[in-house]
Amino acid sequence: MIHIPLKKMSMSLLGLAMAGLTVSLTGVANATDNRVPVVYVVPMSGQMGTDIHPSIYDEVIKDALKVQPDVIVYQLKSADIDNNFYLAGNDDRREFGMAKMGEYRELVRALHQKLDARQVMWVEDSVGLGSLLALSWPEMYMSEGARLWGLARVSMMAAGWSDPDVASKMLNAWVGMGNGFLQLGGYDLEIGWAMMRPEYTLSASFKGREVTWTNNTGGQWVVDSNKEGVANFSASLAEDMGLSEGTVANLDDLMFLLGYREYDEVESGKKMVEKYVEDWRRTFDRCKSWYADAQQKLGWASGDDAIRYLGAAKTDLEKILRACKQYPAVAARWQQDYGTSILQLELQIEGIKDQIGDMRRGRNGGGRKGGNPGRGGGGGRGL
Amino acid sequence: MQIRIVTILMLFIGLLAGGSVATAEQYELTFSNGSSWRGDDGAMVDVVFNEQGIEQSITGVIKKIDGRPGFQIVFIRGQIAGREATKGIFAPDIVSMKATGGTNASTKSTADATTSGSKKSDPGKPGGTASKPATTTMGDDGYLKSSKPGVFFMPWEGPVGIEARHDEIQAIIAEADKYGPGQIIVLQINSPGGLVIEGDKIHETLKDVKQRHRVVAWIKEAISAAAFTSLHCDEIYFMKVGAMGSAVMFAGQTAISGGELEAWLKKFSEVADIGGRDPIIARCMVTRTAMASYDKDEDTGKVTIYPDMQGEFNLSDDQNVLTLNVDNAMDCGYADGIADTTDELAVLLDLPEWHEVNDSGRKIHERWQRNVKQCRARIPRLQAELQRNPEKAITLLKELLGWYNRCYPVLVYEMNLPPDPDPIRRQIEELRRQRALQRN
Repeated sequence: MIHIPLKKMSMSLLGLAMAGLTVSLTGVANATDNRVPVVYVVPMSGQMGTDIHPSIYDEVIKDALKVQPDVIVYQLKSADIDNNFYLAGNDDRREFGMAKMGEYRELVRALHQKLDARQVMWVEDSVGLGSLLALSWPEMYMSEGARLWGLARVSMMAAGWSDPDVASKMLNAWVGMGNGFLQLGGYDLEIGWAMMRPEYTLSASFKGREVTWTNNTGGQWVVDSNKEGVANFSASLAEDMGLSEGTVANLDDLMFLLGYREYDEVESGKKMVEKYVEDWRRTFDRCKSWYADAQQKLGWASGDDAIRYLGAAKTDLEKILRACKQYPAVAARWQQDYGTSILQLELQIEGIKDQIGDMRRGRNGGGRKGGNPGRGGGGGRGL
Repeated sequence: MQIRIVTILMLFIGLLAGGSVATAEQYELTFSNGSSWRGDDGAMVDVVFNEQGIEQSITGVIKKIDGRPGFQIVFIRGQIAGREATKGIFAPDIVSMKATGGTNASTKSTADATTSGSKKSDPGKPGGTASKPATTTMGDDGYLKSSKPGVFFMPWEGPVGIEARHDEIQAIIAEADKYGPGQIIVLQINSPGGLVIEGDKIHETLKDVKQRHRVVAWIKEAISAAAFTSLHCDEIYFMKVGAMGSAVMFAGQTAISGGELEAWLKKFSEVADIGGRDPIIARCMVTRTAMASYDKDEDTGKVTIYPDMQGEFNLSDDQNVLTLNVDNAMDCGYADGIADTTDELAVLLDLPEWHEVNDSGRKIHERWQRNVKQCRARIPRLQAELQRNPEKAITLLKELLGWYNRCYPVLVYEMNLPPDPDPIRRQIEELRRQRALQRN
């Protein structure tokens, strides 16, 4: 596959024509086995840490191993800002990618190691920690208008330390971990430093096809001269600088650039991921409703109806607990939005059970000969 | 070259061992699902196989298929970790095998061979075909002997002193010691750092064990105390995602300084030195103001490291604490190689294949991780029960005391319970006394 002629041009007509010429040659070579290549598209859309979560990709890996595609395309669309996938308003902080670097690292490692087909990253849009995923594959394409932004999030994770040595320790530890993703993708450390650390500049020098990156403005092409902001890449800049192999409008375009004039798309992975996202988000919405119900019932739990309403509230909380256990994404969002972990939910439920038990014992105790005298009806115990 | 000699030797031994299952040119493999593959040596094949629970693949030429039915080993020569090498794969581990139409187009591949499961077969379970296990015997010298060269492998993960402890390192060393000196101990390190006091214990133990074993750090994440631990090792290999460094010692919000910092720098330098690495770079992991740069001879690859920025390649200026990644760790010579899989690591360790002498390291690791998990789940419940059921206080407090024995670091360093459980013992005695008085 020859990419080089495409690197320095966007997908203009001329570019397409040239690409067609280049690709058709490859296509002829590939056509000898009379088999249409199979492409398996894996969406990575939405919030990092919930929509994009290892639990669903474990399933995708199993499916892809059965399908045995020729090409796997990761379709990344995860932007912390100017993103209206699920919400009418933009920039909802609750929808920002979660700071789970270790989890993302395991995810990319698993995809790299367990799947042996050609793997291609297609960035439709990426702002935030998703850009670490984008840069974890050496063969990357971007959509027109796509952003490869937002890795300032990595250095922000180290904020809040006043001692300069401790601050530097935390910063460089996080940035080092972040750069691990770029190294997996075969990108230079200098790019990572500039994309994660505002005070770093970035320029590149070209010697033939070889690009040398430096964290200063002395190169032939200055990418980022701002010492107060990180380097970000638009699709065209990424292509010009050789980070992206090309700019594409759709899957047809991408496959064409990959050297396949025709292909079969297997959609099972795409459907699995889309269903997962739909399911966990619907479940999470239900949890919010169950929680509101539980709060209301707890408010009503006094007098003669106390046990009934406590029991009903407990049932609502148990539904939330089950949802958290079924979907790690629900658990993660529950923790983030409501500040309650699975363990805390369990403790809360156990507390209600005890309270109900106390009430029952208190109510029945008086009627039993020689029975448990009760412990005061449990009225003094909170949740 | 050494690997090739070992490989050739292994193949030679394999040839001598005989046990051919077909003619000299043609082999047949039968898999547990009833499917079979038939082909010649020299056939080019794509093989997908399971190793350590991870599905991997190799394309290469079949050199030989050895062993009796159900216990065959398929020797394939292909690219492993970027190098031409021969890989022995146990037939039961093969998920699929098909001809690629390479050097031997006349390969008689009758079917894609697919085993019934994706996991390694358990020889003890019906239906599965089993790989030939390595045998362990007692040698004349009183040490155990494994029939295959291998490693003592242990994941070392989580906060140092809490999940990643000195105790587990000591336990895997004790296991290796049973096999006599010269064993390979591989610590797969994935830790954000942790407690200084744990680092001190690790320091003494690793310094000692290096006298008799080869200790290897395989780094996914080695930050702070985990970098300190890794630096002790004879060899350091990075995963591509690996990061190592940022070992500033601090208390509360403040980094140590003055005499304490000097002592820590000295110790860190000493550790780098005993690991055979330049202390100048190590010091940059400890304090922001230390610097390092280097020159590299284009012909010999020899690296000259400077404690300032005079070298051609910058590693760390006076504004940053150093964390190394694959590229700079390899280039400056701090890392000995890159391995993302155990197979790749085996090649770097000059082993004919990845083989764990036994699973004690994994078990040691799993046991402690399970203990930590149980402790984290139980202690908050126990505290809640104490509040809800004061009449059960004696039983619950006794259980809490038990957890001090089982999982001290989680209680003290993570949950901030008092380091000394003695007041809990006194409380139990006091409760007993009160109850006795009530009964009287």
